[in-house]
Amino acid sequence: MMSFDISSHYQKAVIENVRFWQRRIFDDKMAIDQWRPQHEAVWQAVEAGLSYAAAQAEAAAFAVALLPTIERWGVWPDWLLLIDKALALTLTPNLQIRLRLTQGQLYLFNRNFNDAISLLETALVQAGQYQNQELITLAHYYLTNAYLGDKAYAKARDHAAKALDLLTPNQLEIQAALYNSLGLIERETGKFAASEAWFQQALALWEALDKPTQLARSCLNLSVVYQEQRRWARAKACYEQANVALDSTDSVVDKLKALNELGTLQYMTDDLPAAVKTFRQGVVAASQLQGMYHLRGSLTHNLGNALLAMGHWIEARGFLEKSIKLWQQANDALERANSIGTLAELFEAQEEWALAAFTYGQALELLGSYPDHPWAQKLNAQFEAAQARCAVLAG
Amino acid sequence: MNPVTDLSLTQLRKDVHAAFKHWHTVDAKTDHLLADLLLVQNKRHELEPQTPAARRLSTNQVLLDGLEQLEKQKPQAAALLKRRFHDQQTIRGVSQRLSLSEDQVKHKQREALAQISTILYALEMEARDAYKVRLESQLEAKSYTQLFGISNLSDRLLALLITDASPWVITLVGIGGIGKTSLANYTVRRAIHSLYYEEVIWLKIIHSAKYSHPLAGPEQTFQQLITQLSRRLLPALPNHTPYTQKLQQLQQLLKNQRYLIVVDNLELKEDTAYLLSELVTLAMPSQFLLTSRLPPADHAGSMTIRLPELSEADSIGLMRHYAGEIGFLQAANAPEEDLLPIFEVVGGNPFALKQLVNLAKVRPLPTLLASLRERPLQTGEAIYQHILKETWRTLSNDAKAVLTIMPLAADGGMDPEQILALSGLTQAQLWPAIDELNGRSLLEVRSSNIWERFYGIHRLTELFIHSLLNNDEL
Repeated sequence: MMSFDISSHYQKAVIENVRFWQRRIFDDKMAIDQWRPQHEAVWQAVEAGLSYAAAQAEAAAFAVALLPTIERWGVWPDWLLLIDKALALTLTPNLQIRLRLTQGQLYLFNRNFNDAISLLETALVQAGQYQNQELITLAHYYLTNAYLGDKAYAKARDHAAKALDLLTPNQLEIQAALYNSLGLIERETGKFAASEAWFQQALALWEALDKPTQLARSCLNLSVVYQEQRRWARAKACYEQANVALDSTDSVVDKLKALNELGTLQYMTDDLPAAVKTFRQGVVAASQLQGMYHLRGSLTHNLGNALLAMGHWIEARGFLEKSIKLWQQANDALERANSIGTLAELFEAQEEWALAAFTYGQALELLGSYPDHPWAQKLNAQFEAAQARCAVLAG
Repeated sequence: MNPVTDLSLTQLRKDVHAAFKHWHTVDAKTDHLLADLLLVQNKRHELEPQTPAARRLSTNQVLLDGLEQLEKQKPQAAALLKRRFHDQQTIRGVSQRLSLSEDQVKHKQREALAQISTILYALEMEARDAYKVRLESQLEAKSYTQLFGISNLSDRLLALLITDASPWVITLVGIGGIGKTSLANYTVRRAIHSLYYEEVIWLKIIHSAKYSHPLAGPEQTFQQLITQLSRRLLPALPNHTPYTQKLQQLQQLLKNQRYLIVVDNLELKEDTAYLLSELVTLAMPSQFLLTSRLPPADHAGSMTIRLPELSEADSIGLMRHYAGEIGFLQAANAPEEDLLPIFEVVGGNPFALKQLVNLAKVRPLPTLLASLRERPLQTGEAIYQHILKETWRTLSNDAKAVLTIMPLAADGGMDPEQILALSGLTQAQLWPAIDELNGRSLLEVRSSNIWERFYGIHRLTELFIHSLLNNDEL
């Protein structure tokens, strides 16, 4: 029997493992999700690759290419440490910058905006030093969303404008995504007409690019703009368009977001029993998802709010208390303030004046961190008046 | 937890009636909350924090689920219960609305409560079955078909586990391959059937040098444990949550509910007192079951159970059973005196006994035993390494090609397509190689459903491969 060179065989296997998973994941993009149960094996392949000099660059590049898949699978916490390991290696500047951008996005998925911004700003500077147009554009694009998440709207707009300036004609997906982000920025700052215009541009591009999931997201975003303006027919049309687009996809999270919008529409048009049923469906389905605190917080709050409107106080209270905890995990103090304020409304409805006044106070304390935010200003006025009212009744 | 393991439909009817009567009650009392039902406890998990309102809501949601089912079967019965308890209509009010006498309403109410109790009873039994299946699926796949010499030990361990008293941390100690993991696996399955635990978590500590954060001491071990535990028990916790906050939240969880945390393959080094004191702080009523090759220091609230080697009789029983499994019928039917020499050389260590029976299928046993006798080895693990070296020499190159790449498998194992790609074998070569390794008990099957096959290797085999890769002498 010929002798067996174990070391050489193992090293080849390490390199082949990275390539094997690249083939599996990217050769048939329609069937990516079938590998989700083996995401640990993918992680393992990259980790082993990063430990061998001959495989490091390939493993690091694979990790960068995996970003959309990692987001889709919701497994980003495990990858933060691995990207850290890759960043400590001696790799080409191009790969280093891409890794930093990837890490920044992973922090963004985790709603850790501070770390995301820090990494992405560093990547932007590095990309500038190497005059890499593609990476500079990508950095601006990611920073748009990071600052949007952090509610630093002026900076978000600024980066979006710079990204749009640098885009090449073949970067239509990023262009559409930026239009969507600008739509969100204008929506959150109360500029509904501008927001509508941006979303319409995003929709046109998504349709041309045949991207149903992204189209549905922009539809739902636009639906909220119409709801804010009480343009119910248009809001409903947007919702229906999103639903049609999502039918052909496997995106559980987007379908739940659509359900959330439907429930909101039903609530705003006073169809409370339908709204409760819709939100309940959403809360149950979302409870199966790992993480996704923001979506779960939204569904849970909306259910509690709808139950409160129907006078079902016990149920409402349970869901509102749960949503407060979810907002904390989602790192969204503004939404948490809203849920606390809604809980205060419940206490007020139950004529628990002292408790209501105290709870309004808790909400107002959180709102103090957002003096310039239009929604925060509106909630502030509402809760201040309510607190004063309850304080008088409490005696 | 515990749900009442013997659930009586008669008692459930009374409890369900009480729960309905208190539909709108939010207070600190618990006797009208159906708290013994697994259905209610599952709902509570979804609705943390556990305020009185959340607890009441959990019970009401279970009742609503029951009403939904009742509505499909007997819509009028469901409607009656909703009117009476959800809408708080009096008997008189309902009788007037339905043009029935009050006695008739009471009678129909009793019937409806009996019907919904039957529904909830069936749902509860389904939930309990699902609980057992779910918890068992979180354990490692069984690596044994039959265990020898451990039934008394398992009974002792089970009694310690399903008791709300110290010890809170139990460590199974013994040399590698003695059966610690198998004993833990077998006994925990028995504990699951008692419905004692809220949740069972099986963690494996990674020791391989290939990982970026190798264990450096008990503090790092504990931190790794906390990180793994928080990922499993607090999946909604953001990744950027500081370590101390994770620890605090875990402590709250483990103190409020009864979890069994199994930590397999823990290599306890010096200053184990630190590790044990931290685990005992987290425990009560939750418990920790550890497996380790090294014994920990004594600590209040903890206990060590040492796994002895198998007796001569159990060793021979194991060898015969195993020989039958691998088709080595000569050994399976051999008289005791033919098998005794194996026991005399390697002792009652299951892993070593199996490996030697395996080797004896392809090589003359007297030569093997002679080589082991010539080099007296101090520790059990040195014996394994020697046996594995001998085994390695007898493997075909194709089998070596497969075994070499197995350390690259994730915890869940490697599927055949991946083995094919990494081993560099052809399809025609692959299955004979896998069969050869399976036949030599060098591959473990780690699949979670009947049709899938994922393969892995024992920790000792992995250590052996790494020693070869590190250019140890062969």
